[in-house]
This record gives sequence, C-alpha cells and structure tokens, in this order.
Amino acid sequence: MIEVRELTKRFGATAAVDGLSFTVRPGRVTGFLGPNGAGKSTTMRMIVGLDRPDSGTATVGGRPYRTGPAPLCTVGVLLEGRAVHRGRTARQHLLGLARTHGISARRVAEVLDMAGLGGAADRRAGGFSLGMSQRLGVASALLGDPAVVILDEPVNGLDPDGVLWIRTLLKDLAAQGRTVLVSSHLMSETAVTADHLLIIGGGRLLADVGIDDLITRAGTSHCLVRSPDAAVLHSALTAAGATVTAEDDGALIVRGVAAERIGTLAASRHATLHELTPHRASLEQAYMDITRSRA
Amino acid sequence: MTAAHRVTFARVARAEWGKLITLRSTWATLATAALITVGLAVAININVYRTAGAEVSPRALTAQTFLGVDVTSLILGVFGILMITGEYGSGLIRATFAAVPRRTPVLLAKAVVLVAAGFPATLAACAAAMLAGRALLPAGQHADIPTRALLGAAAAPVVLALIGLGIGALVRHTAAAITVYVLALLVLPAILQPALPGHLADDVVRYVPVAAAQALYAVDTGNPFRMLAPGPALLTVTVWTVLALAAGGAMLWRRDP
Repeated sequence: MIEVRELTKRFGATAAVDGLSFTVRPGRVTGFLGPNGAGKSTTMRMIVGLDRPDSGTATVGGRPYRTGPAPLCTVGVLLEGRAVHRGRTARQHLLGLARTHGISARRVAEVLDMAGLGGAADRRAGGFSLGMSQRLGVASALLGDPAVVILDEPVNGLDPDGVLWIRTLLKDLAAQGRTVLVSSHLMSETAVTADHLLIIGGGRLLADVGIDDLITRAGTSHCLVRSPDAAVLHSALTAAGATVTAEDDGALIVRGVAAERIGTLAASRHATLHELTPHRASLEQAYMDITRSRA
Repeated sequence: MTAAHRVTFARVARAEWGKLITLRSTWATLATAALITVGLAVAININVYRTAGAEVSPRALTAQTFLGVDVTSLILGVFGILMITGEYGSGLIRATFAAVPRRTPVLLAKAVVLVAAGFPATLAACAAAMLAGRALLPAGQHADIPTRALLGAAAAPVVLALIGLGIGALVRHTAAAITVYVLALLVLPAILQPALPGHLADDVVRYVPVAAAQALYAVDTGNPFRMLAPGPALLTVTVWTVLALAAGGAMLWRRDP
C-alpha cells in the first residue's frame, strides 16, 4: 500500500506536484495517468526517496521508504531513463544492487530469466536496445521480490512482444496480491491493464476512479438526430434544455438530454425521426475531458 | 522478503567492490598508473646516473624514483572523481540510491574499496620503482629508500583519489569535477606561492593537499622550502580527506539525484 498525503514539490517557481494525496491499494493494477509534465515521475521519485518533497509525506507500508531496512524488498522501482553503467553486463549490474541487500546470485539469474534477458545476461548493457534496457530495469525492480512495484512508463521502447510481456506481468503481480503503480500518458495503453486510475494534471489529482466507473461516468456524450422536421425538433429540444448544433447535412447533434427524452419529445410534436443514435464517449475522450477541463 | 535481506555497510562495500572490479576502466587505469610510476622511475634514474658524479643518497634516490608519483596522483584523482560522477552521468546513481536510500554509506563504501583496490596497486608500482631505482645506481655505490617514503609514495595518490571522490560527490558532473580538482589542488597552490608574502606563502602552501601528500614520501635535506614532517603531513592529508568526503557526503544527502 502506498499512501501519499499533501505531497508538494516545487522546481523554482513552478509546482511540479501540488498538494497531491492518494492511496494505492494492493491486489490491483493502478494506472497513474497524466500528460507529460503532469508530475507523475516526480511523484514516483518522491515515493522512493530520490526527490525530497517540499511538504507532505509519502509512505510505503506505513513508513517512509528511506527508513526501511531493506528498500529493494519493500518497493521495486523502474524509473524513466537508463540507470545502468554501459561497461557492466546485465548480471553485474543486478549483482551490484543485489549485494547491498544480501540477495543471492541465484535470484539475479531468476529475474534475468523473468525479464527475458537470460541469453543477454553476460553482455555489456552499453550495447542494449531501449527495449532490453527497459527489461533490465524491470528485472531490477523485481530483484527484492517486493510487495510494491512502481513502474514509470514501462512500455516505452518495447517491441510488441515486450508490451505483451509487461501487460501480463502487471496483471500477474497484482494477482499475487502486490501493489502495482504504473504510469503512462496514454489511456489506450493503461486501459488494457489497469483496474484503477489516478489521473493527474499540473501536479494535482484530477480523478481517483475505477476503470469501470470511468466507463459508466463517460456515459453518453451526445445523440445524432436526423428528421425531416428538424426545425420543430430544434426549438423543442432547446426549450427542453438541450444544446443543439445543426450539421451541414441537416443532422442535429444533441447534448444534454438522453436519447429516450428526445424520442418522447419528437412523438409529442409529431416529428418524424429517421435516425436517433446515442454516441458513447470513449475512455480516451473521458480522459481528455478530465485533463482538459481541470488541468 | 526474508529477514536476512537487509542493507548493511559490509554489504554495500561488497557491492561497491564488485562494481569497481567489473569495470575494464578500473584495471586499465591502475595498470597505466603503475606503468607510468615504474617507467618514469627507470627513465629518470638512468638519465641522472648517466652523468658521472651525480648525487647518490637516500634523498636523491627517493626524489628521482618517486618523481612520477605526481602523474599517478593526477590519474588516481580522476579515477576517484569518476567513481561517483560516472554514476551520475549514466543515471545509475538513481538505482544505487533506491537500493541504499541513506546514500552516505555508498560514498563511504566507495572510499573503502578505492583504498582496497588502489593502495595495493600503487604499493606494488612504487616497490617496483624502488627496486628499479636501486638497480640503476652507479656500480659499487649504495643508497636506500626509507620504508616510510615507499609507503608514503604509495599512499599519496590514494589520498588524492579520496579527495577526488569527495569533490566528485560535491560537483557530480565529470568535466566540472575534474576542472575543480585541477584548479583547487594543482593550480591554486601554485598561484598562492607568489600571491602571498614570503614566509606566509611557505607556511600556507605546506598544508595544501598536494604538498602534504608529497611530504609523505619526501626525504628532507633542508631545502629552502621546508615540507611538513611525515607525521604532520599524514595528519594534514587525513584532515583534507575527511573534509572532502564529509562535504561530498553532505551534498549527496541534501541534493536530489
């Protein structure tokens, strides 16, 4: 469980993270969504003690990350960008981290296999592709078999195989009862794996919502109406409180009233309907609406 | 998670040792430094004793044999800097600090393994240089290098490497750290000498890190410029080393990587 309370971090005059509070629960994948620059990476860095907050607290399992006796066994983290010396092999890199905790070379070999790097374990990391570097980063996150896993944009640079691997891994980790926080700026990618969403913009929390709730909340965005009696309908719908826009081809885009109400209204005015199509907002749209309206 | 898995200083040092010896550049640097130490000792002694009547004394032999230690000191200073700035440059420092969030044990562990890897290398090189120097004395003549001077010559580059490590932690960027190192340790003392009034200049310059490190292996014969005696020299370089590492450690702790 990750608990973030009133976390604030300023860089100069701008607040990268601005009074952010949320809780990430175990047993599900929590997507951390927001446009680039929303404060996702900074928040993740503060959770693992790399950035010092100006105010507020971040705790993992009830204690600040920095005070734990075995940090790698508490939180596994993949941060943005390479974090490997080019001259060391994948195995040497992981051993350098594992030894600080007395984690065995056998566990290092295990996570290399899990990350699909078994064959590249003794190659220098300097020659790794972006995708392989990401896999090595994920391997290092899993090293301590941690109850909390934090991954910053893990699919960046991965090939389709790698993307599929990450998706499966995230779901497996959550199914094992771990707390999984994974950031992305893409709703399309997050929607595939996440059960819960934290949406941030401008360093503030915009939504803390289950993916199913968001789908429901997204609801109907508008109805497309075609009718030979468009003029009659237009005024009746406007009177009923709808926002109506006339398209060039004579169709009406109606917002603010449900399809059922439009049908009833049309019947009461004896207006013929040729088409009445409700359009559901996509998750992508819901996400855009949330980040645009409140960011 | 098992109870056995937790961070201890010994484990951090073990990890840093592994990180140090798995880099080719470590071996290349130490080998280069050793070759230069021995090579310069051979070249200088051959040159000096080509001239008939050249001084044969512990003072002369020590000075000639260990003249190249200044070069080794510069190489090891940069080596110490790179041990920490290399991690900032590659981004590895974030992984390192995520594993050891208290941070300062990492710097201390780096200092320990720097000594553990560096001192045997410089000691072997200086011993080889000493043997070569003795072998190159004019036939029938004899002089010895004091053991204290041998140990001092081996320690001096390691001390400067530790100060480099502290400066690296303080500055974090490789090029900037090397610049600071060269300016503060090599250029500044050279400027201090003419900038300060006579006797005061000598009193101050004696205590700068490079002069104190050189005093560790100098055999004094009453030059106009009096170096520190070995004991005070050791104390002086220890103070500088502790200061540099403490400042570097404080910076590691305060600033976000």
